[in-house]
Amino acid sequence: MAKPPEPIEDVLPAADTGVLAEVLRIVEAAPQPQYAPTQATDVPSVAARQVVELKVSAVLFGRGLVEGAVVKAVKPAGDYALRAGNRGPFLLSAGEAGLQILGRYGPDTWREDTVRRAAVALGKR
Amino acid sequence: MPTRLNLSDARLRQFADAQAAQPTPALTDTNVLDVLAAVGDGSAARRTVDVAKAELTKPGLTRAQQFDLAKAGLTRREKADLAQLLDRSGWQMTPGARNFLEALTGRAALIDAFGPLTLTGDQKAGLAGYATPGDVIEAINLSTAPSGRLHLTDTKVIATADAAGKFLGPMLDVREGDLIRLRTRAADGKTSDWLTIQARGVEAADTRNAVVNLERIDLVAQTDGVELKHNTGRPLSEPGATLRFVNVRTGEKTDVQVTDTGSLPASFKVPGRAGDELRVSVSDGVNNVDHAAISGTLKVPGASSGGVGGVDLPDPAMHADERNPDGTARYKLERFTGPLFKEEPTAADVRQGAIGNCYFPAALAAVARANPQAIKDLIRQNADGTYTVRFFQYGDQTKPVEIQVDGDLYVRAWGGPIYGSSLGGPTTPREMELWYPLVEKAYAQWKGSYDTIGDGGSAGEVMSEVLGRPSSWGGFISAGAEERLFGRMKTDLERGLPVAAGTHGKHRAELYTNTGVYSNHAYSVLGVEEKDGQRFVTLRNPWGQSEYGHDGKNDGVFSLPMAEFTKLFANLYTLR
Repeated sequence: MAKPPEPIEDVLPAADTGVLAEVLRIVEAAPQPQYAPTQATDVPSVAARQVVELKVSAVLFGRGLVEGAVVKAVKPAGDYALRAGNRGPFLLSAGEAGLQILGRYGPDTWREDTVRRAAVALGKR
Repeated sequence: MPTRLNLSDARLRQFADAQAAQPTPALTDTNVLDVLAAVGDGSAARRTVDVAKAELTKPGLTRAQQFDLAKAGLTRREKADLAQLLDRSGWQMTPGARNFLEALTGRAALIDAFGPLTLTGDQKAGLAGYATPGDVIEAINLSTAPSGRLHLTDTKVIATADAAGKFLGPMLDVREGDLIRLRTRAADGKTSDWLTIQARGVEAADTRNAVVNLERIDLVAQTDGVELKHNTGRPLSEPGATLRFVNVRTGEKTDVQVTDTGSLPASFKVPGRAGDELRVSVSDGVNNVDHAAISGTLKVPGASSGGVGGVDLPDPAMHADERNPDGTARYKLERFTGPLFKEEPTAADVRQGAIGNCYFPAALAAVARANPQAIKDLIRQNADGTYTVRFFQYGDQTKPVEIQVDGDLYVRAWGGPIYGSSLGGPTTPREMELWYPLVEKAYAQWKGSYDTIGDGGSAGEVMSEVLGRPSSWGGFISAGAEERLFGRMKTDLERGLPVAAGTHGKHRAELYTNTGVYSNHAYSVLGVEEKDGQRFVTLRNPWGQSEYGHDGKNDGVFSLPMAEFTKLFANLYTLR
């Protein structure tokens, strides 16, 4: 659904790292449910889960990733889909299943300057 | 005068002569029986005057039975004599005595029971009846009094009984089934007992329910429940109405009948404790008998959960995403008291909250852009601090739907509404401009809850429900329709009609990432323009941020080339 992005204060605490990155390729993608055309918007629906390869161009906060690194990350089923060439700030959390991309709209959730400011304000280094 | 009477019946002549000897001849409820005996004797009834009088004065005899006895012996000449008494005697007559004579002469129906105040017929033309000549008739509508600043004795004089004791008084705002209380007041100030009637013949059906004035109830938490106290001499509801109190926490229901004085029984208690909320409904026995319509909610003081002041109306439930497993809201309510409008309403006032109803703020912002006056006509503040929002069902001007809400909004822990809010200023309870969040709340109330409106919808339908015009949907947007779409948007915007547009669904989400436009989302169309031979559409994201391109403002407003518009947008919403 096209809800507004979450307040970054709600999400940033769960992030282990924030990077500027570009999607190199889609590694795998779950089957995308098809929805009939409708006049309505904001209807319950999802863009399918993807696993993508990201190339890090800058680290905004957190440790473990360095500029130039290429990592796999999971884009959960949700409100957006990625394709090769997409870029922007990615907030990532590390878990048993690997890195997961946070934020309702991935790299379109918050601008780079917003992430930087929030990271400083919330003590993320 | 007696000298003008030419009575054929000897007993009636004798009675008339006796009256003529009196300083003030009068036919009373007592001596009228002598007249009835005089006409009730004779061969037809085979009884003497004395026998007739004895029968007429038997204890327990009704007026109807007295009438029948008199009528059984009534001759044509005696009927003419009675007509003379009515028309030429000049005697004072009580309404009851006069009605006997009128009934026996065929001029009126017999009224079965006469008191100091007697109502006749229905109330189609007003309140009609009999009283002592010269008395004024005072009345009050008990069905509407609880919503006004009226005591039950704050009556209005509706009529004065004429020389024959008859009166007819108009009474405004009486609806079918309303309870009306009346009494007479004599010149010396003496009043009769109250007479209460239910209005009939005013309308085809009784459709006005009783009201309950919740401000007149105080709640006191005690060890064995919550005592409800009527805190004023003014009525809180219509006598005889049934009030239902449902404890929102426990679901326990308690019904009570409103007393004859429009109050609660003494020491009335319901199950509950401090901090509980009681949902209150009322039924007059004809309307709202299932208590489905809720009048409001009362909060038991003594525990805090976002306490509110003033009139507290039911609030639409939160979206399922913001509810605990037991169904309770995860966010508290806070009373907002800011201005409805700080300035002329604009699209920039509107901000979508954390709920999937983009179609709604997109539609409202589109209306605000096209016709600000329509927004001002949409919502008004009431004298009691609540707000009334008027929608049109099915976009039909003849089907207005008015929804009343209070200023309570669900807020985040740090303040500010979680759902729709206003942009361009503080979001504090005292300062935030309220028109948009309250219209959204009323829409949720109308449709059922924030959950009902929070899982998608059509901006066109909302524009239609706001303006009372049918929506027009011209099919899905396609690249080949640029000319037609541009023309339609331009024409409608020039005519002051709102326009909105919606993007493709999530199955095409990959189209949108990094564009600044979002899938499955509705936008307001603020304008169109041609520049250097290229066409553009000016759109607004109802989030009030996040846009195509970066103009440095990040206010959600952006200009999109027409070719991009037809690629990224699936639907155009307009009105007929």
